[in-house]
Amino acid sequence: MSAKPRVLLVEDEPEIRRFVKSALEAMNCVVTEADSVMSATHVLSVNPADLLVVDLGLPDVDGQTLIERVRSWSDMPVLVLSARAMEQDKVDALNLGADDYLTKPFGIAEFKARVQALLRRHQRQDDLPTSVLSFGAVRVDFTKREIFKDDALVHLTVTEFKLLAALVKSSGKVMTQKALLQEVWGPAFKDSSHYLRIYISHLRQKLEEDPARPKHFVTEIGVGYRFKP
Amino acid sequence: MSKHASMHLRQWHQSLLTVLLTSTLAFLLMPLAERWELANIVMLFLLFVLMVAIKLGQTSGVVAAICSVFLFDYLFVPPRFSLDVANPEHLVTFAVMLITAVVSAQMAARLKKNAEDAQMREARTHSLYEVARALAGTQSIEDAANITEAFLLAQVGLKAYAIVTDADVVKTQMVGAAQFHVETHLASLAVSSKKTVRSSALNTTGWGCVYIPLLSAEHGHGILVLAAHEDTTEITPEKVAFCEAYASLLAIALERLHFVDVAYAHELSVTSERLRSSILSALSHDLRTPLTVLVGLADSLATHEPPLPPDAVATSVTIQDQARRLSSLVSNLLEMARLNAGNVQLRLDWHDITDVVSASIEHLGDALKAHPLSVQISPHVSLVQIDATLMERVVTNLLENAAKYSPKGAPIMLQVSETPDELQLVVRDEGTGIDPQKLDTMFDMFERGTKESTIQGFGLGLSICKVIVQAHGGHIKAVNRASCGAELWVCLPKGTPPSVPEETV
Repeated sequence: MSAKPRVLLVEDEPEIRRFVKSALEAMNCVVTEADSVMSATHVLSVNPADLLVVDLGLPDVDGQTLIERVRSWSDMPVLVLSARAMEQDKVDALNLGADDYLTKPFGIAEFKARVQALLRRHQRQDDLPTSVLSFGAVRVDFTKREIFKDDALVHLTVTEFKLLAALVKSSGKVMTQKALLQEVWGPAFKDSSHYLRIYISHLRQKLEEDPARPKHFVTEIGVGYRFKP
Repeated sequence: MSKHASMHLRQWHQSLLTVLLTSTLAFLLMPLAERWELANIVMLFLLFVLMVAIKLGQTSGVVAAICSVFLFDYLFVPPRFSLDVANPEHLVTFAVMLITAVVSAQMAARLKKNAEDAQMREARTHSLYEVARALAGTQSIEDAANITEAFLLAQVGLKAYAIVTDADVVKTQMVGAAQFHVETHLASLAVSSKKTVRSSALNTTGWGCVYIPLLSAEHGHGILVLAAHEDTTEITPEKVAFCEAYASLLAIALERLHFVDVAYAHELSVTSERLRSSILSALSHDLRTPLTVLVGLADSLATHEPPLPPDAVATSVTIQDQARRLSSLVSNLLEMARLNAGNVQLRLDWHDITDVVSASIEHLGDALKAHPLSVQISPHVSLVQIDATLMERVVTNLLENAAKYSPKGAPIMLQVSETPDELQLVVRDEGTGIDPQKLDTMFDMFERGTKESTIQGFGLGLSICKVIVQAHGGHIKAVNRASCGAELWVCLPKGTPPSVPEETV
């Protein structure tokens, strides 16, 4: 993507809009603002965007409604800002199609990192899929199904490999536990969260530097998991 | 005048009337004496006796029969106007006439009584239907008691009181004011034996009482007390039977009221729970919004281009730190409000404790940067059934506490171990330790480790930990280490995690 990324920021609090906008502009983005779901829908119909940043607690309709609407016609990345205490709201937003979330209050560095990851991810989808991926001391060759850690071959079982692939594929976004279970084990297993716990633990044992303090297979408590390259 | 006396007088009147009527009939039949067969005249007398028995009852019927025999003998049987009998055959006629008259009088009277009884039963059944409908519409126990009182007074002439009990204990909530003495031991006996109990009318007060337990499918709801003053009303077995039938209706009505109460209480708790959670959610939003602005704006000052003077950057970093600390405090307060509201609803699921620990460390971020942290968890640690979000708050609070109460640079150690029944998580610090007197009370609300200390905090963190851990059926404790610093232990019951089949390929 050569042009500047266009971002639609939907947030009803003007002061929050102010610093989020300046952070986005520092990242060389073109920012359009909206303070309600109605104006956001209106803006989107005129001005397409490359990224949607949306607050969940909006004055007119719930932010989740906007996510649902946008997902019906676009796959643009969606970053949710949430001040709500309940994890369920975030899970709902993610299940409706949001890609990532930040809990208020958040730092600018954190915010920038999330935006960057989403934009990069969106851009990468347009490119050819990479067959070799490196993170930390690990190198994964997806075509040959080979994994090396510190240049030593690591054996992964079929399910472990599937889980790794699912996480890596969604790099830069949060995968809810339900989505991961469905993708790796199938729809019948969407409530069998213990499978996910055990296999995430296997991946960490085999691929993390310190499995007790994972850097790549990160827990989003109450929500799901995130892969960080 | 007593009821019995008045009945006697009525009977006496009726007998006199019967004698007069029989005499009138005999007088009217006199002209036929020579022209009709005696047998036909006997028939007319018999017909008369039957009618009297139907109209005036058994006693009058018998009186009419005897009168008829005498008058027939005196006025019609030759020699007339004498009680003498010329033909001994006529003695048979008298005997047959008397027996037939008495038997038919008795049968007629019984028939009449049966009809009356049926009518009365019908009326009572109807009245029970009516009262059942009235009871179905009652809104309170008082209503039901008032209906009971009015109904039983009208139907059987007894004073009635409902005593509503809690469980099976006669803890009387007397509905209506009683003029008589309730014998509590008899009432208790009625409840415990589930049978009607009668007290003697000879007790000192002169009131006879009947205690009928109000039983329904689920449990007893109280007692129906019937009272009658011995001078005015009699408590007959029929009346008791009728009242027992009524008592079962009343028991159903009370049961319905009981369930209405239960349903209402449940609805109330659901509504207030919803209200509470929406208030907390709104509060959380309103408190976090200004904090978000504060953190965000301070952060944008710190990363301003071109950079601000170092002093200004340091100030903005401090503002940001403090705002984050405030935010963590707000989270703890809101969590405490939610937990204190009673019924803690755990969203239990099987979790790897590693997830909880690593999320807590991630969450704390820079707050731990002054302390080297070591984490020891066995790679094969069992899954535990926990509410991960709440347990993350426990671990976060424990680590935050350890950082707060130990000097900069002092290491913190987090270790997870297992016994056959428990998963134990311990956080060790090398701080000043805990005042031995405070070891037990430090988990209670607003207790702080050091009196008047300059270290920020509310003492809220550990109280929340305790509530959460206890809600999970576990326990939390603090011990001072022999060398220096403190250990905080969280022990959680392990349960049996669901199995995951091993993969071979």
